[in-house]
Amino acid sequence: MWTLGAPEIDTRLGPAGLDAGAVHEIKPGLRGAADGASHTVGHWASDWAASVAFALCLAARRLAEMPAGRDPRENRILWCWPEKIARETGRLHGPGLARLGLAPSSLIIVETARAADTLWALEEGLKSGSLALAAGILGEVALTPARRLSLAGQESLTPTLLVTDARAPPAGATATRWRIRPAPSAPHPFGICDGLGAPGEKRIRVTLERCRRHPESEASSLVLEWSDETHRFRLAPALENRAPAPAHTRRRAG
Amino acid sequence: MPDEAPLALVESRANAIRIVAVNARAEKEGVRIGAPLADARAALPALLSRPAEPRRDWAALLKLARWAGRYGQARNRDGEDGLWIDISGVAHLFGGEEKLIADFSARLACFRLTARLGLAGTLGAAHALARFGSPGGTPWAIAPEGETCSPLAHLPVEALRLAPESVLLLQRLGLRRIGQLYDLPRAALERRFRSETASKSKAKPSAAIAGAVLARLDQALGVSAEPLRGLAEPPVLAARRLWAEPLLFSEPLEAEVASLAHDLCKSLADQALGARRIRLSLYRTDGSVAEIAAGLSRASRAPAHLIGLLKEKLSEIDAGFGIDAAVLEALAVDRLGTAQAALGAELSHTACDASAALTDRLLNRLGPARVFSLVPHASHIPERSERRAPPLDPGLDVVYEPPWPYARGPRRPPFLLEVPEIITVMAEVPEGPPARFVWRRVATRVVRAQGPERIAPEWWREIAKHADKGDSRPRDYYTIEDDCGARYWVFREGLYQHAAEEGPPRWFLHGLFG
Repeated sequence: MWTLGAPEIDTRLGPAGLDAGAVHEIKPGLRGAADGASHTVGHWASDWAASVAFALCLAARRLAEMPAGRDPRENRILWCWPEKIARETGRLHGPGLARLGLAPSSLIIVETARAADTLWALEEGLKSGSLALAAGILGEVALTPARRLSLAGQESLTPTLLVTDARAPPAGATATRWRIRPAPSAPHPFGICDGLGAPGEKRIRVTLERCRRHPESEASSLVLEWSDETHRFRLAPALENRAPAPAHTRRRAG
Repeated sequence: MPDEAPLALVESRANAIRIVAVNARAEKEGVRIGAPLADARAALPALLSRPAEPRRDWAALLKLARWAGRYGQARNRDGEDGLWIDISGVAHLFGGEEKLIADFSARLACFRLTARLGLAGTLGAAHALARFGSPGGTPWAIAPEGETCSPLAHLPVEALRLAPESVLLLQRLGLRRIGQLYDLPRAALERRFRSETASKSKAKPSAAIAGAVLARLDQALGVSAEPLRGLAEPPVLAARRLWAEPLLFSEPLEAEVASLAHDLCKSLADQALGARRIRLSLYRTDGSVAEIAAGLSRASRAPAHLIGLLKEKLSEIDAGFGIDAAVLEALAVDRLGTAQAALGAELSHTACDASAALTDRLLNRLGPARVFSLVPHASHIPERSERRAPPLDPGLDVVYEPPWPYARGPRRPPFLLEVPEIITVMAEVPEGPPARFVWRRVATRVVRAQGPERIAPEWWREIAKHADKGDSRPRDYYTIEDDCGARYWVFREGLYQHAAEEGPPRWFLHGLFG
């Protein structure tokens, strides 16, 4: 079973966890959209990176929960993205992947010149039936290619993760759709660095925008924390999640 | 060359425009190669002339040699005006040597080329027969199998591929025909050479000339072996097809290529081999060749796999006026044990096979630079701490996987920019993390920071290359988080206490944590 590791969100996916033969779409949340500011490249890359990192975490979860009887050499992940996006957000870095809990040697990385090649590589991967997961990072996926990927995945029981642009319309034929925004982390319990608290575990705000199996849990939003130790998500404690009270109110209270 | 008008190719040589080639008509009219054009024009005013283009001739000969691969894989240019083909084991496909050479001659005539052909057991004999074997009669000469001496006996000694001075010397000695050399005692030949050269005081030592003559004679007669260097890499195994009617459309071509793949896989299976590299050559009727090469990450002899690799590029092939021959070759092979195919399944793919097939398809379509895996590399500098490697062969039983550093300890980002990008840091605290910075025109307020982690330059590399200062400064890395929760990996290059001699420290953004 393929889950996120946090029971609070796994129960919303239904008893079988994430569908292993379907397409799951991940979209970055727009940071500047809420306050009306223009969305610039700098924000774009960091928002995008949060979604792509979420896909990496889901891939690590997938590998961790593959059936035990399988040959470990067959547990490979096809990671396809256009070179342009890879340059923008930074290329996959082996030590960083290992830190997340995803063995870099299990990745077959494909950096294509065009988006069409990315879709082709994804479909080939799904059709070969030898992968644990295929992940594609694309600006936009039209309905027809999305359906093709969905059908190919159903046949070989290989899941697909698609990370698409925040403004692009949602890809069709998906089992779930996630919206990912970075969330401020709790201070590290032991770290202090010149007055600024050291960051704790990485946090993201996850919104399940679409869930084909459990439509009632759609639009539920949670703050999750990825643990580099256990390599699973957990719910961020609500208390720590509170924003610090403004300084002047505290002073008045004192 | 059309024979309607006398034509000569000319080249400016030795202070005169001289004739380097003539057509049959001009030769009949008495135009000689080497004569000045002015003299020839005086005798034959109708003589047309064109400048010779040796480079284009050379290229055309190469193209012809490529095309000649339909008659035998090993072939190459022979001197400036010829080409050789090794037809061992091919003649029966054409119905015998006579039919093969007739087919070859007819096809060359279709290209409007006047060619003289010779076929013999050795390259030397074939060379001699082609150039001197058929003075007026048929355009080709064939030495019967196993007989090389008698067909060569009446040919002039020039036919032996000798240097002009050796030919001159032999003629001076009265040795005009190759047959005269057969019965001559070898020691005596050298002795006669020596006396002759001594009297004329030639520069070249006589023993060398005699040795060259005897070596060429032995090569022509097949007494000594002659190494041949073919145009292309010789294949380990090959399958070939010739069609009476050229194929114009892709569907029949694909079907034929599929049957070629089946043939090749069968012969691979007979020898318990699997192909690692294959090449498909398609011979068009107009004398050009299209080639498709494909590599396999793991030895295979599954026809479906080979067909899949070739099909990708087969659709891009332009058939032109039609394709009338095809050769599929296995250029590199590996030992591959026999395996029992699953019952009822034509394609018995284990997951490993499927994975190897996928890697091959990706590699062959997108190229090795775009499909890779990451392997660790012993360096502390982040951008040098990994290398790209071809995706691991899943079929190998033992895969050494070195451990990745930083699975514990200091944080490393999953995304690393290829080139660290300069950021503008405001509210800088010496020896501390930035409080605000601008990256890609976006100002960001830092809320949390962890660091510094100092990464010193690799001094042994600096010694080796006497590097400039820029690369040799230590870096202090910080993991910082902005008010939204986005996390960055930034570093300060250089130290404040060395600012006087090295310039002020600079800040870079190197990675994203997502």
